[in-house]
Amino acid sequence: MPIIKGTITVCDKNGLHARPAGQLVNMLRSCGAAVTLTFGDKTADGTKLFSVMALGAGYGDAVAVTLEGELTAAEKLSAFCRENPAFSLRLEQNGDEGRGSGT
Amino acid sequence: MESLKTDYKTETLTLCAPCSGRLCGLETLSDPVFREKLLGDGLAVEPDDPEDGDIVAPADGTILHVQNTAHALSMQTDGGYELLIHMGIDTVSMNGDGFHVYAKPGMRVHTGERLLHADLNRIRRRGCGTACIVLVTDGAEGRVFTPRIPDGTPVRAGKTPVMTVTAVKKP
Repeated sequence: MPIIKGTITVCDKNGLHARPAGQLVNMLRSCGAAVTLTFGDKTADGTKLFSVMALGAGYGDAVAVTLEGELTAAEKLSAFCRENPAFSLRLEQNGDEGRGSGT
Repeated sequence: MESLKTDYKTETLTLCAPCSGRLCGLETLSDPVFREKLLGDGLAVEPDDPEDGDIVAPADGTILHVQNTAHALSMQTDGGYELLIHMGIDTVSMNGDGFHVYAKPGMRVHTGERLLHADLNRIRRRGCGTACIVLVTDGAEGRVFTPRIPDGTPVRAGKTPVMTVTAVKKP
């Protein structure tokens, strides 16, 4: 199963609080992938709300994301970050890039 | 990473009111994230005494995390459910002003124990909502949320059982 890495930048001026964190977690749960978020020395399970909120990421912070699942999971994450003004995503381009034909 | 129980829960969870006031349905809240149950299902109480901003534990459990803005925290109940206790609507914008937290991560709490205090008058002056929201946020499927009393009923912090949550065992 491919491992996709990238960086999510928090663009909500209040940081990764309940609303954006909840939206992100809901989307990650629906991806059916194992998702790890890392910020500073903290690591979070991307499918657990409290864990993501506990990262304490603020406005403009870059959170590293590691996604282990199908490429469709990366596509979903890309689409989510394009549509949600609270996030911007940059995926690492190594071989398979996590972009398909889209929806 | 935290060692949480991740199996489907079979224990019944009773949620008590997190503050004194009146029970209100999540669907009446102004924030669509709560109204549409994006973070999870649960309950909300609108405080009715502006001088009583004490928020208490709705169940027995352990504090997982306290937001640095002091208006929200997570706990795990003794039965393994993950709860978010969120004081107010849009109160993240107050950046902790008007909030005082007593709970700390890792702390054992019992139903009715004070978790945080919110200055309800200050929240209102800032144009934010004062409803206290308790949600089950672990996202497991098969949960059944059964209200024990109708919306609008007066409730007492930590005393009034408001909702029962049951879970279907994984086949």
